[in-house]
Amino acid sequence: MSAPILTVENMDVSFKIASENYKALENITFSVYPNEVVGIVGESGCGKSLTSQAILGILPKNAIVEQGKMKYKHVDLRELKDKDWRKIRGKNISMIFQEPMTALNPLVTVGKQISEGLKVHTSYSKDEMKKRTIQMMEKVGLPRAKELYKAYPHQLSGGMQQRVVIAIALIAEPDLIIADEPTTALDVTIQAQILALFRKIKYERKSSMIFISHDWGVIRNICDRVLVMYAGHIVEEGTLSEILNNPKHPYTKALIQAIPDHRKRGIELFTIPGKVPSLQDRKRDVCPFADRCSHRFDACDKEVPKIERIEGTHAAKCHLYTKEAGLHRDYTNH
Amino acid sequence: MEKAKSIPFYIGVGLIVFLLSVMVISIFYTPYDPNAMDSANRLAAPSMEHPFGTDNFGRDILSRIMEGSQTAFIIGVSSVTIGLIIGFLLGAIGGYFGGWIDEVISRFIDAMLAFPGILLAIMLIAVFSTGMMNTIIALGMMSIPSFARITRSSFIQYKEYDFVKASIAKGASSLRIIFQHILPNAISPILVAVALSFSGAVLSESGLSYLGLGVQPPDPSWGRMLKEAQAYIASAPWYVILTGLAITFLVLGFNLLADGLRDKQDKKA
Amino acid sequence: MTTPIIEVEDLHKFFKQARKNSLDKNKYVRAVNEVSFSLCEGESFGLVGESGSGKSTLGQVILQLIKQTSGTVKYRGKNVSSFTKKELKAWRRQVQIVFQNPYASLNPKKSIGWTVEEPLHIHKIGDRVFRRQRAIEVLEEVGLDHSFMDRYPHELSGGQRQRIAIATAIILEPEFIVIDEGVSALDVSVQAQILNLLKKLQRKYKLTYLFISHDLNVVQYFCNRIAVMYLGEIIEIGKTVELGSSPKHPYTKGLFSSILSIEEADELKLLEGDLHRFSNDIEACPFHDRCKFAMDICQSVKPKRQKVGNYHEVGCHLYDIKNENKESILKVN
Repeated sequence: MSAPILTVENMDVSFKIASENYKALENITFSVYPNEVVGIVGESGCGKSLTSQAILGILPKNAIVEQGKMKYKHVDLRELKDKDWRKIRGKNISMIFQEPMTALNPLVTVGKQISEGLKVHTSYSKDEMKKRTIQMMEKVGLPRAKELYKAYPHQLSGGMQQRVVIAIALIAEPDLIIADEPTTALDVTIQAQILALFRKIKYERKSSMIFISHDWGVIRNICDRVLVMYAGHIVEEGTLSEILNNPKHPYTKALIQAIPDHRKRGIELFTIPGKVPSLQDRKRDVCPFADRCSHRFDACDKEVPKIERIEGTHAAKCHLYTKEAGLHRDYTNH
Repeated sequence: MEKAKSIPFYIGVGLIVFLLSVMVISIFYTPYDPNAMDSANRLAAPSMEHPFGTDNFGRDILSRIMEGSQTAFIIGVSSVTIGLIIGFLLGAIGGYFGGWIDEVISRFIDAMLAFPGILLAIMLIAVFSTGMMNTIIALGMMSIPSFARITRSSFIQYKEYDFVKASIAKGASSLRIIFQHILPNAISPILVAVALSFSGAVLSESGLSYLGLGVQPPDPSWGRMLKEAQAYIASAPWYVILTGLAITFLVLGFNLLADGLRDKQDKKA
Repeated sequence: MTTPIIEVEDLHKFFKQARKNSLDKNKYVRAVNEVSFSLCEGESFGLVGESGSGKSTLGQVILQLIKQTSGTVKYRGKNVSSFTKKELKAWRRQVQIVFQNPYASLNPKKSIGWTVEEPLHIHKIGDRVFRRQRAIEVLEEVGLDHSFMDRYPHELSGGQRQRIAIATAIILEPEFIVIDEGVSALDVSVQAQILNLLKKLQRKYKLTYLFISHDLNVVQYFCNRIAVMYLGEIIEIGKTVELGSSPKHPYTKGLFSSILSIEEADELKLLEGDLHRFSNDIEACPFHDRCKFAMDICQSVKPKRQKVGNYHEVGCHLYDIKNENKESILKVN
């Protein structure tokens, strides 16, 4: 495998609430390789958006990266000053958000917003910029690009707005795109259209992507590799088929079984008892999932399990698989 | 996690509490009879005997300011109550029911707003003659539009909330929806309006009395005192300054209170 | 099938166009247009469609939270528009609604106990002690305990709030509940808990559900019958097994092929365009400007709903008797 585009190592992020420190992300470690789509999946509050914000240096004011390494190719992202960040954001790494309407400036035409990235990062002439902008608009499937160039965001539908957001993210040809729930706010048919566009980008442009979603259907249709997050931890990682066909962590298993569809008609859905603990209620130094886990045993309440390689790229953070506690236990798949 | 309110908010509360206690004391005790004249001691400068000095009839200014605070509070409370009740009902009915009734109420409010408030008050007093009661009614009328508008917009906002619709779907009556569901949620912007209206009423009363249209003698009034004081602005500057400060403090107190309430409300939202 | 509990006949709801839109010259938005269907006792009836299809409006018109422009809604054979005030209030004990957003569906200023007891207050049922006891009973039924009585909505998670909303809906033991995107805002694992709860309550109280959702996975899991709405009209209706396995309307086909399943990730079949009616033409098929199979007739005559299976109806000219050969065109595509 070639060198990774992005590496994150042992990253911890904390929130300061009422002069108390709460750890929101713990020991986040992963890499993104060229031409790879890495999915981050989890329920709300598990820290998937926070991870992307930490990478891009856009954490909320009361959150800080406490420790860990973040590297984009050879650039240490934690050392970057604001001035250097401006060169990297958009040009090398760009971000796509959930709500297209809030990501776009309502007072600036679509064309201007898309070409903004060229203005900042290149020295093209005006005509060249316009030409490239219109080409990009056509690439992301915006019809009548020349007319829409002068349109304002509110004149477009939600799906079209999201295409504009994607064009903005792609215009400076970044090699890493971070997309945070980019299809969640859209209707099903539009979601499928946008997902098809992401697939096209993946195959044609060979860019790497981090694709954040709570929707396994979306993850299934775009990602190569998946990180499953729970309560600020990456609890399982592996290729798409490893995770979907052979999930190891009890949380991943339960989550996949909880998804309703027509094949499960008449059958009671599998559920996880309890709820995701809020930031303030999280227990430290024990397995974060122990309270809700049906396989809980003594080791789970003693320490946080280490992430343990199961085979190849597949790894899980669960005592059932750690050498110290779990391997001698008789654990069969449920 | 209730965060500490701002310092200005506490200054506002402090000013109001202070003036309120002055008013309560003045009911039972003033250093001198506020209306007792002392022709030998006209326009005396502040001294141990008369801490705020005396006026052009030799009356003790401190006593008169203390007594005047009663008028200020009576007028503030009564006129705000009138404005609040009528304005709230109009706004609630218009906002909640909508349709033609809202149209009628809105136009009525627009008409009142189009007319400068103080002019409206002057007109009312011109028709119904001067005096405490008529001043209160005039000032109350003046504050109706602002209460009605704030109430109406809150009601329009909250009646679209799912919890309101869910309650209607359970068979709740309009009265129940208005008083149990919408009012508790709409109360904070209305409280802000109450504080602002109170200071507005005190200021307007001073203005009317200054013009001789407000409270009539012998009821003491800060506005009328200010009018009398201005003739002696050169010879007895403390008279005009101290009376002006009394008005300023009361108005400032309620304005700061309103700001503090609004900040708290914004933080929640 | 059993007797209908709800019958909707030729229902229309038009809203005045709020803003002038240069692209849409219609004076009214036809949120609900020519809708007829009936709901049988004890079934879970799914109403699916994209945003703007009018499915939520239809749910609220059925409950008379919004007055229809024309048409009738019948509850057990009685026209609900002709109810007197007293009859309407009595009817409201039988029918309930659960909304999508658990953060807006509870009054933030009222304790959970107050909110759960409110329906009993409204209908003057029982005394203080009884109401409190009944509220605790219902809380337990939705999986919460009595300690929630004195808490406030902001202290609860989304799933817990939705349980409260369901508790307030079942405390009067209604017969019919509209669930308006009731699980859409929830996380997968919480969604599964709520769906199981709704199923359990349905068995216990013999409830009939009108389940409004944009999530076809959930609807196919939960409902026996499905109606598909497009621009205010029901364009296809049928049993889940029939409609899910062989959708007929080109829009339904597109909608179902847009479902992202975790089972297979093959070629995404796409439905082009957006849900927006730009044409003025109320005589045309609502879908004709997005339809791959649009014919001349689609622009001039609105298709009537017709049978294509035992309980399966579709409103599309491709299934006109004269157009039998069109079926073969569809199969090729």
